[in-house]
Amino acid sequence: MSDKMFGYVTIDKMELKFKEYYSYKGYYCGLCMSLKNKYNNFSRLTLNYDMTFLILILSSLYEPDNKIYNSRCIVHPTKKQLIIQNDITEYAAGINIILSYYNLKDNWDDEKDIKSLAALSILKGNFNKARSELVAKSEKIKEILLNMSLLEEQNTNDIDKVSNEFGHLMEEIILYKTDVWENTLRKIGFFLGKYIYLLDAYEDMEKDKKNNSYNPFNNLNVEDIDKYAKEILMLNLSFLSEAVEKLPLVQDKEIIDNIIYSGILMKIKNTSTDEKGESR
Amino acid sequence: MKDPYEILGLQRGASKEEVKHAYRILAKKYHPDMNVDNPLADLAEEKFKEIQQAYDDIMNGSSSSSSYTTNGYNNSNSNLNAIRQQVNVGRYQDAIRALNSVLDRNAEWNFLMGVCYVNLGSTGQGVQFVQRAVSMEPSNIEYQNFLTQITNMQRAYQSKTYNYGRGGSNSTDCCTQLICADCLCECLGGDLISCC
Repeated sequence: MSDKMFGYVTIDKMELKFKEYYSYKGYYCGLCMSLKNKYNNFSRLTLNYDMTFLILILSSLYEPDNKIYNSRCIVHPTKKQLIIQNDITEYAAGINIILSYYNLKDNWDDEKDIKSLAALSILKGNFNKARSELVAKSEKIKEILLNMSLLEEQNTNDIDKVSNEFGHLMEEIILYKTDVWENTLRKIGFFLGKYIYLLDAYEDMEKDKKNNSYNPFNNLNVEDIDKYAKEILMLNLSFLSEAVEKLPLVQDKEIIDNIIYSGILMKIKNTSTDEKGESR
Repeated sequence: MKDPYEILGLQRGASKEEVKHAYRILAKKYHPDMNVDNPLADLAEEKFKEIQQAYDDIMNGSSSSSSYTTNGYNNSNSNLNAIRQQVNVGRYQDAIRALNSVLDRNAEWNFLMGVCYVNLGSTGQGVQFVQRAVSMEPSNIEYQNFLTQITNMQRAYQSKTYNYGRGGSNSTDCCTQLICADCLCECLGGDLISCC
């Protein structure tokens, strides 16, 4: 897993109303606060927008009791920020820790990157804490990440197979509860994860070629790679939006629509051939 | 069977958003957790299940269905019939394994392969298989329908992304302007529309 999940699923800020923008930021800062309160400040480096999207969807579906307040934080020391927290935020914070830990471990195992080792030792305590509360999830995540690195090692040219694994990973993550919505939530997680993996790989094509790193797009035998990539990305987003529309989402639906019908696409549009590799 | 729209207290043909709103309100009212001390808890639970079923029926019925399946009708090829059965009950991995050992890769073979791939999430490859099936046997309605379902879903998404932010036909109507004015007021600390 090469630093996947780095904010591919974002809002289209210009199209949001003020109050929607503040709610969105409230969820984002809520996740940040949960990471700080339960774990420690270091953990907040792992924060990302993709996780905020999951919190939005799950909060809209389950409408848990929200704790809403204003607070200062390290990132915004002068101005108080709106914070929205609930049980789902706590869950997402735990998952965030588990993912970061395995991500760093992967970096250390692959590249013997000393920074990763240092970070790992700091994160270890948090990881154990998060893991103890989410044992089953943590095991599943570990298993899927292993499958993924095996496929990458084999240098597979089956772009679906390897991106499906990341889809299954997000499927596990979004499944906060097993109830009547399980099938639909699994689809949302799956197509979201698959989209993130594919977009990340597409963006890194040139870089990975240079570094001789695995990238499924570089193993493909297609004429117009940009056209092909855009087609499969759009196909995945179609499946994603179809699944999202199956859920009875009312709360914050405007923000969710903003993300799936506009924000999520902005990264594809930005990833034109000339910027590729540099856009992060 | 009762009309699902009626169960949700809606007119037939109500929009998806109306269905979601109605479901929310009713599901909250009859949710088992909300009726623990209610002497009629059993009735409430029954009602809750009915609402859930009605919601699922509406959401899966009209749009391009929730699962992409074969329509189950049989061709003459007995060899593929057994595999088709597996596909129909969702045993896609088994079906793919069986399909891989079939030598005659005709249109139906490609179609079944495509259905399996799409359902396993390998959507790109799945669509390619079905496209091949359609080009091998253009007159087959089943193959065509499957492909159309996916194309329609893609079109629906693309048109939603295209129209997003453009506000459709009523972007300059009075209501939108009022909301804009409200946002501006809120910016300056006031509030024109109190509810939002």
